[in-house]
Formats: sequence, structure tokens, C-alpha cells
Amino acid sequence: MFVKAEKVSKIYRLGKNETRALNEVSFELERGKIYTVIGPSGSGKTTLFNILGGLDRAEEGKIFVDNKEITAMDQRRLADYRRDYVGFVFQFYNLINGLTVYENVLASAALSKNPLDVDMVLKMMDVYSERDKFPFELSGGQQQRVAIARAVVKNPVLILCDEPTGALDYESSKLVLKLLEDVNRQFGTTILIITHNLAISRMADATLRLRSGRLVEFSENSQKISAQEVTW
Amino acid sequence: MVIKKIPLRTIKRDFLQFFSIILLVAIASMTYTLFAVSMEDIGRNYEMFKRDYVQEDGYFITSKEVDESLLKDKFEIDLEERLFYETQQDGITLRIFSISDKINKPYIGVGKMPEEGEVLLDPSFFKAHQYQTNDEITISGQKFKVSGIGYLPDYIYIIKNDQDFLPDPEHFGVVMMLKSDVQKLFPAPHVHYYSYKGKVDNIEDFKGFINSNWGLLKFVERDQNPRIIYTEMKVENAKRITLPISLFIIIVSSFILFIVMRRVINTMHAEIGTLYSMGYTQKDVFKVFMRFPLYIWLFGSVIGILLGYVEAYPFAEFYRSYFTLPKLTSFFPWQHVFVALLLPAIFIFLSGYFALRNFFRLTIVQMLHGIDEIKFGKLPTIKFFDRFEFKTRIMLKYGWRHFARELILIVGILFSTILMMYGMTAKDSIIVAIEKAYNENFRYNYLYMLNSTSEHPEINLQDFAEPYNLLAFDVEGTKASIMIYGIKSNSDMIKLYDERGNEISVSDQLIISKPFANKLGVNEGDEIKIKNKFTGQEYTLKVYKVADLPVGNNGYMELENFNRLFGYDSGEYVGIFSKEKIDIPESSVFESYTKSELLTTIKASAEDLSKTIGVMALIAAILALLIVYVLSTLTINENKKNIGILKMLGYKENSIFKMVLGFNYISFLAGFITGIPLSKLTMDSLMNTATKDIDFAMSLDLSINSVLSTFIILLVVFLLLRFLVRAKIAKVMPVEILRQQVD
Repeated sequence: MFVKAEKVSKIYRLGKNETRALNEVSFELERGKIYTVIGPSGSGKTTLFNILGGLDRAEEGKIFVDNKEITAMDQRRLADYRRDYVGFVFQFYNLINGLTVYENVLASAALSKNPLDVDMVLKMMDVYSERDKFPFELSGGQQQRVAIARAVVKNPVLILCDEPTGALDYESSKLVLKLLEDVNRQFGTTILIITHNLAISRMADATLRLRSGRLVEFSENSQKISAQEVTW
Repeated sequence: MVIKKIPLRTIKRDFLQFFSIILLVAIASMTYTLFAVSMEDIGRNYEMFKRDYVQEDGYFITSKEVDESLLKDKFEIDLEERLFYETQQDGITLRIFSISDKINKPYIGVGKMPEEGEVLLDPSFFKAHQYQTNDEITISGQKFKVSGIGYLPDYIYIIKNDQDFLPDPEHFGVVMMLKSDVQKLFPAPHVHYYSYKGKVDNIEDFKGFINSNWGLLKFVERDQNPRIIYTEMKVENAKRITLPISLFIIIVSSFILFIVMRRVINTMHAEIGTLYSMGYTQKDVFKVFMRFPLYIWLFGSVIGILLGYVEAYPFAEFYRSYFTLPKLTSFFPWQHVFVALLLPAIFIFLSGYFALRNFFRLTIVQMLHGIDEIKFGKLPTIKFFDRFEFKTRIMLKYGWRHFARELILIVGILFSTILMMYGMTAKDSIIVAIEKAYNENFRYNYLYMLNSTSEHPEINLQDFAEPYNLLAFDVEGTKASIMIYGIKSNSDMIKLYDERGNEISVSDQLIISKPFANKLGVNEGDEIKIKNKFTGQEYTLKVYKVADLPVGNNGYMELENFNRLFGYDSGEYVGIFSKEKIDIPESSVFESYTKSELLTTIKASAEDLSKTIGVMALIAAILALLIVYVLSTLTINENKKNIGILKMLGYKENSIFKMVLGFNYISFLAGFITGIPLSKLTMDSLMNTATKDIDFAMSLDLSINSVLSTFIILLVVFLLLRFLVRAKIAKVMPVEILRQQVD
């Protein structure tokens, strides 16, 4: 298995109050597939995203990615993990305002041992003509495409997307989904998409449904459709 | 690393905000470089001048010619007679000296050493009267050719009389010529003037020996010679204030940088979190963000050093011409450049480091999602604020919430107040107070110092003139000396008042001037031990009253009592105060001057002082301006969302302005009001330290004029900025709230 989670729990403490954001969540993900994580607000989606991405630590349980236990890694090794294995796409893009489109992508490529060509990725995301612009000069859809380019250019084995279409209009959302699908097909990258939008699950190979920190359903999608066909 | 570009681009984007900090650092570096380099330049050149041109250790004037070899052998000193004479023509007094070979040798700044029939002029007089080399000058009816400009090591601060405060090259000049020419002009000198070089172990024996053998008329040690020590005092003073001023500006800049850095980091929280998520390590990110302080330091201090360095030489020239010091050598002040670079670096980097360190304590998830505001210690809630109406309550709460930046504003205004007040007071004390003293206290128009203390039967004293006697004393346990005058008990020439303005009647007891009392730390009723400068005889006198005089180491008592106490016969005197000019045989007069001469000097010098005051006021105003601007802009940027909400709720700009920035008025007033007593304290302490080891006393008093002028200038700057900042509030649209939600 490419990703294996064993009884992963995460507890947030605020004074005397404890909130179990994740409660003994276990699952396995295969390499090169697309997964979606769905669930209502507060179900633990973002917590799972953070822990899988090495941004946060689990309280209990283990997570293996490519046979490496990331829950046992120290901060330095976690930074290496993020650098070598994971690409992130956020809801609000999180591009670096002080860098141009090209530089934003280059900043990511520069960290990778095996990066893709920046210009090639920009062309693939259809933002090559915007390469010298700053993020604030772009539309939301364009910014998200740059964010995907930034994630892809590292040539990671896993791309984690947190509500990648949450701030976009319908057309832009469709384009972003198609690009993610293209990346998955072309580079064999495993993609995990956290979303509120149930329709997106239809383009995934499997869906994890969370509720109150528990994994209540892991359903394989036998009737997977292309991103192009997804509508809502 | 491409992410290295982030800081520079951010600085460009928020240019004004960062530029203000850069400017503050630049001002700090410039202030340090300007003062340190120019003072080093003056100091080095002065030391070289003193050494190479053999500045005297003292001079004395006797009524008889001294046996030089006897004195030299007995006291193991070097001694040289200098012929001197004073001549007056067209309201100009020329003091003529023969050119020395060994002590106080002239440095030729322009032209050449004079030959027979030629003279050197002091640089200020030369410039003031627009002489050129080879011009003619008439002295006592004889024409001389000006061979050039000469600097004398004992006439650095060229004042006519020891009591004068400011030089007056329009009406007084020093002329240097060959001994033979002085002898031709003035064949029979009434007195003999000697300069000596060497350390005399027992100065009292020395003076006593001269007095008993050749009749000592005047004895001035180097450290008591105002023509030398005024320069040293001013240079010391400038050196003393250089570091505190620069340090203060740097510390304020560092605090502001800390606040700005926090804001920059807060607004970039998601970007920094993203950099982490991409795999950048804390070290990578830290290195990138420490470039903010690096650039601020680099731009600020390099610009500051360059400006300071470029300005230092004209500044040194200005000082040099003010003190008539020559330039003998040039040098590059590496150590000062190094300090000017290093000093801001320490504070700026520390400030940047602490701002970042606090942020990097957050987890990546906290960075990515942001927290409302990164707090460094919580302030307690003050319930008292809730008693006020809504707008005032919000204003007070904003001020309390941004306590640190309000404190910086207070300190900034306070510092500007002190700086500006110092300049204003210098003008008031030196010019207005002296003018006032010469109108209210010293009511004579002419002062004559005679060659000897006697009954002077050759002088017919009329109603408009009063005799006085005078003796100089050293005050035991200090380096100060006092001139005690014996004057008529109901004198019309000297009127003394206490601090409440009541006239003090002159009696058999000692009255001393206020600055001198302050300097000695004595009050009415205290005793002081004094020692006659010429005879060494000691006396213990009780201070009867302290007279409110602005300047001077003076004491007064009734003339007959003075004579009895100090061993003179009744009716003897050494000088005359007069309302009108008196015809006194020239051979009896040692020195004379008119009050109008002195007042003209003061007025003429006011222009020079005004320049210095202008520079100080400008620096103070710029400082206040930058601090208020940066802090107000920051507050508005940070509160765009709240301003948007308030606008959406229907509040008008005036009300929003009051709520968000109204506390600044309180801080401004607090800074200014605290600044007034602190200005007085700072100035007194500065003056006391500066005059501690020298024979000079002066009191600096704040006048209502300087307080008002300072307040008006600072208020205008403050209100102007408020106006500019208000425009920023007007630009905030309610839609900002939505944008902030997305950001």
C-alpha cells in the first residue's frame, strides 16, 4: 500500500475541553489513484489533510507513506518528507505575493531532487502567458492553476488538495479538476482531494467519508467518470 | 533561492512604511557620523595645532619687566614675552601681538609669514572685513600690508574680554606682526605680557613669586582661559550628546521595525506556512525574513553614513571657522564608520530576530490558517473604560491595546520636545537672558579696568561713574574660580535681584550669582572657602544671598567692606563703572569696553546660533513626523477590516478617526508635557557636566516662548500628518471586509 493509516487520532485541547478531531481513523490508499475526502464541517477533513501532509502530528496511531512512518519523523525529517513526497493545493491558493507566477513555481521546483520543467508545467496549467505577473494580478482560477503548477512541478508522489475549488466559480472549478486529473494520468501522482462538493467524488477512485472525527465510510467508485463529466 | 526576493519586493510594495524606518536608521547613522567624524576631525587637528604650534600652559601680565632666565630656572618652565597692544579705530578694536618663536606660534592658513611692514590677521576678522592678501590695513595711523591669515593656539575662540560670551569679528580682531614693528608702533609698553609652557608644581608659589618681584596684574592658566576652553567645552559637549541622540533614534527605529515586522509577518502568515508546507525549513525561512532587517540596516546605515560623512567636513569647517581652528591634517575615520554601521545593526537585527522568533513558535497549521493577532503577553482588561460613551470607550481600548506603540509615540514626541527645546533655550539663555541682564542688572554703559588698585587721584569720578574693586579667587575643592566685586552699597550701576524679583541690597556679606551657586551646589547661608589667585591667602565666606543673574562666576559685596576684608585701604579701587565715557589717562587703563559693544556682539552672533537651532528643530520635527506617520499608518493597515465594518454600520469618518487614532492625541500631549521638565533636567545636567571642570557657569532657563514655539511646531507637524493619515481612512471601503475574509 502506498499510504497506510492505522488508528490515527488527533485531540485538540483548549483549557479543560478536549476535542477529538480524528478518532482512530484507519485506511489504505493505492499509488496513482484519486481519492476524495468528504464530510461536514468539523468532521476532521482538514486535520487529516494536515497530518497526511506532515504539517501536524497525530496523537495516536501510525501513518506510513511509501513504507515510511511519517508519524515517527522529527521536524527535520518531516520537512524532507514534505519536500520530497508531497505537493499541496489550498483553498485560498497561498501563493507568495512577493514572487511572480514563474518564481512561485520555481520556488517549489528548486527544492525537488527530480523537478519537472517549470515552463512545461506552466503551459500544462495554461498560465504560461502569465508567468511574469504577480499573484494579485491574476483571477482566482488562474491563481489556483498556478498553485497546482507549484504542487506538480516538484514531481511529488502525493498531491493533497484542501477544497481546491472552494473559492472558484463553476467553469474555473471544472478546469482545476481537469488539470488534477491530467496530472494524475500523466505522472501517476496519487491525489487526495478534500471537498464539500459531493459531485467531485464521482471522478475519484474512492471516497473517504468522515463524521465527527471518525471514518464512517470508505467507498470505492466503480462508476468513475472523467473530470469533464462532473457537474453540479 | 528564489524566495530571497520576497523581502525586497515586500519593501517595494509597502515602500512608505519601510522607507520611514530606513530614514530613521539613516538619521541615526547620519547623526552619529556627522558629529563623531566632525568632532574627531576638529579634535585631531586641534591636538596637532596645540602640539606643533606650542599652546601655552598659561599667561600673565606684570607691571614690570620680568627676569626671564630667573623665572625659567626657578620653576623649570619655558617663557616668552609677547609684545601686545590694543588700538581702537572706527569702533574696531585691534589687539596686536608680536609673533612668538617658541610659545603660541601662529599657523599661517593663507599667505605667508609677515616681514617688516606686514601683518597677519585672524581668520574671522579677515573674513568679516573681506580682506585679501596684500591688502592694506591702517593701524594707529601706519599702513601695513596683510600678508595672510594667522591662527594663534591661545586665541581659538576670539573674544575681546575674558567675560565675553560670543566672538565679534566685526568689531574685534587679532593682528600679528614682527616684534620690531610692534616696538616701532608702541615703543613704551605699560605692561608686560608673558606666555609660559611647562607644568608648575606649586602655582601659588609661582604667582606669589611673580607678584612680589614684578607686580602681577593678571594670571590666567590654560584651563581658565575662555579663549581656549570654550572650544574644548563645545567639542566635549557635542561628543557627549552624539551617542545618546544616535542611540535613541536607533532604539526607536528598532521598536518601530519590530512592530512593522510583526505586521508584515502577520499578513504573510499563510505564505510562510506555505513555504513550510513546500518543504522549506525554518532556517531557510528565517534566513529569508531576516533580510528585512538586513536591507533596512544596509540601506539606512549606508545612506546615513554617506550623508553624515559628506556633511561632516562642511560641518567641521563651520565649527573650525567658528573657533578659528586651522586644518592641519586629513584622515578617514574608520572607527566611526564602523560604529555607525555596527550600532544600528545590533538593534535592528535584534528587533527583527525577536519579531520572527515569536512567530516561528507557532505550528505550521497555525501559520497556514492564521490567528487573529499574534500576542506577546496579554494586557489586563480595564473596566473603567466601560464608563465612557461608546466612541470614547473604543478609543481608550484601542490605545490600551496598542500600548507599546503609544509608548513609542510618547517617547518620540518627548525626545523631539527635548531636542527642540534645547535649541530654543540655547537661544533664549544666551541672547535674551544676557540682553536682559545687561539691561536690568548691569546698568553701566562703560567699564574700565585700571592698571593698579589705588585711590587713583588722577581720575575725577563724577556722578555718572562708580568705582569698584575686584579680586579673583579659586574655590577650594573645585576647579571653579570666582570674581568678587566690591561695589557701592547703593550702586546705580549693578542692581541685584533675587528669584522673586526683589532687589538685594549690597552689604558687608557675599552675594553670588545663581549659575555659580548651582555649579557649586551652595545655597544662601552656606559657607565657601576661597583662595586669592595672586597671593594664595584663604578666606571662608558665608553666602548671604543668591542673585538671579543668567551667567558668570561672580560675587558682590560692599566696596569698603571688600577693601577692609581683603587688605586694601579705604577708597582704593581697580575699575570704574560709568554711564558716560570718561577721560582717563591711557597709561592707567588696562582694559575697557562698552555695553553696546557687547550687545552688538550678541546680536551678531544670534544668526549663527539660529542656524544650529534650525537644524535641531528640523531633526526633531522629522523624527516626530516619521514616528507618527509609521505608527498611524500601521494602525490603519491593521484595522482596515474594523474600519470597513464601522463604515458599513454607518459611522462617519470623523468618528472612526477618533475611535481608531484618537488616543494619539493623548499620547502626543503626554509626550510633550513630560518633555518640558525633562528638557530642563537634561539641559541642567548637560550644562553641569560640561562646565564641571572648567571655570564657567551659566543657567539655562526655559521660557514660555520656547515652550510655546516647540508646542506649535510639533503640533503643526502632528496635525499635518493626521490630515494625511485621515485620507487613508477615507480610502478604506467596506468591501475590505470581504477581502479580509478571503485573505
